[in-house]
Amino acid sequence: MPKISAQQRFIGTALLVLLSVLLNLGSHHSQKNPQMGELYPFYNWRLMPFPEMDVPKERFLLAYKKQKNLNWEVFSLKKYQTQFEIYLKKYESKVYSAAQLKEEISTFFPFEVHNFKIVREIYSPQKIIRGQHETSREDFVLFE
Amino acid sequence: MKHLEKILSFLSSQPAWAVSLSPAYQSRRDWRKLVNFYCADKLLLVYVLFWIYKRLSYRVFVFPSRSLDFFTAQSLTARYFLEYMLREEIWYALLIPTVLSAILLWKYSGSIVLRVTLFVGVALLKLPEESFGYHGHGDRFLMLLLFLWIFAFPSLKLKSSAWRSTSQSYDMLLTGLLFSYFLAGYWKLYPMLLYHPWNQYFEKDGFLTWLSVDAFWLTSFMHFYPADLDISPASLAFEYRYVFQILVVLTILMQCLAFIGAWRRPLLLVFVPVILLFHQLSQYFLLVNFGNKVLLLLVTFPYHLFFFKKSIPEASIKESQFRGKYAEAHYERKYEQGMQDSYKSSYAYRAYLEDKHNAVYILMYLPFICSVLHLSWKVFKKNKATESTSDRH
Repeated sequence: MPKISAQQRFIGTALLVLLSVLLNLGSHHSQKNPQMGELYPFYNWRLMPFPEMDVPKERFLLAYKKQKNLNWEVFSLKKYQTQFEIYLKKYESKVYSAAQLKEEISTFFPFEVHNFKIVREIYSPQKIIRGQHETSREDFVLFE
Repeated sequence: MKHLEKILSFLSSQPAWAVSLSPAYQSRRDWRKLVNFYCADKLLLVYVLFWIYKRLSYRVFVFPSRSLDFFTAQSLTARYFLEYMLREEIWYALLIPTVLSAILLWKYSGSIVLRVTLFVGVALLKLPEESFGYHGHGDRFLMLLLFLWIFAFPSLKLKSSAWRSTSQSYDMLLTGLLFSYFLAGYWKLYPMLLYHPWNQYFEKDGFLTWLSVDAFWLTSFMHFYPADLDISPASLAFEYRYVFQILVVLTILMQCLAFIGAWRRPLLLVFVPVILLFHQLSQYFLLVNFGNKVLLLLVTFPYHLFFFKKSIPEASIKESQFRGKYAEAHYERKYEQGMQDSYKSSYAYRAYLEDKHNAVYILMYLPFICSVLHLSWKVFKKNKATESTSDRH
């Protein structure tokens, strides 16, 4: 095998650096929603890096319920309609059927899931300081 | 190659018009870098073995309890290899050449084949874990490092003619590593100036940016609250929100500048501890665990201060002299071997302060500081000369 000089190794390293930068830029560019919170409502709870989340199905259901109870109120689902549908499709065969999921959501929100909007802010600084993060549904004004 | 030299002198803030370095200085500098490169390489190999041990324990103790239903092909590579990687015998069969290559690289550190084997092996061993859908920040850092390390040949037995290129390889390699921080900072510039992800689900008046005082604590809150975790870190972030506002902006700026440190090593004395602190804080306040952050310290640590001290090429300074002021300043360092280093203008001040161990010199390595100082002194001098001429008239 031919020997490679130190200078050639330097050029090789420089090319690898260039390649890594291009790959990084490319991977960012290929994301449709580069903002980290874009997919928030369907954040992969079952895949959270906590060890206790490692038992997927049951944990996922539990985490999903938690997420729903705590947070769904603050999202305007209109924005997430498409992602929601993708989500349904993705997990249709695995965790929930689409019908099951829709049913569960509709039991929580007694109206069509895509047609509501939040009009009241809930996260006031005072609440945070007091640590009152157990919100109740009465806090919100929802309408179709 | 001339253009390359120009780029490198610009990156290392040593323009030819202001800085003239003796061969003695250069060989000492290159040798130190080589020693650092050598030590970093050996420790990296030890770290990889430790990392493989962690993966093995995961495979034995955690992996069997995970449901295979949740495997998702996260990438093109995963799509092709996942089916095979899920099979136990394939995974263990891959483990053997990976461990062997890490061990053999101790002896044959110039072998590109072994380095490629190590990189590919590490990437594939991690694949089943990644395909549970969780892409860790930390292991990407290790993989990037192993990828960039493919052409590395840090040997202390190299001929002195190869020191320069090898030490430059080390600089380049650190550039690649730290450039990942630049990109992290770069992708935050848009939310810093215009937009913050919180806006999409927090419908309040106006919009939020990373410059806003509420940006950090809200982000912190959003990491704890939905997971139903104790939100006291977010409360703390709220209490000191003005401090965090400044810290966030400074962190983003420092991330953008981090790669310059690869060519101006004194800057790493500040950047590396600050980046590590940033990782610790983001772990506490944002639950962002950057697993292999210790690698940053491991590959940038100044080992030459502790190891192979006696092997540093001799170049004892006979005398040093600083004369002149501002743009006319001149600093010379004379060696007993008859060679000398000379610096002009702001670069003279920087070298003088460095020799006096005054920490201000580190700041002068920040981009454009020396150039701006030099230009402003020139302009000031020109204005003064014009004023005195007009007074005489």
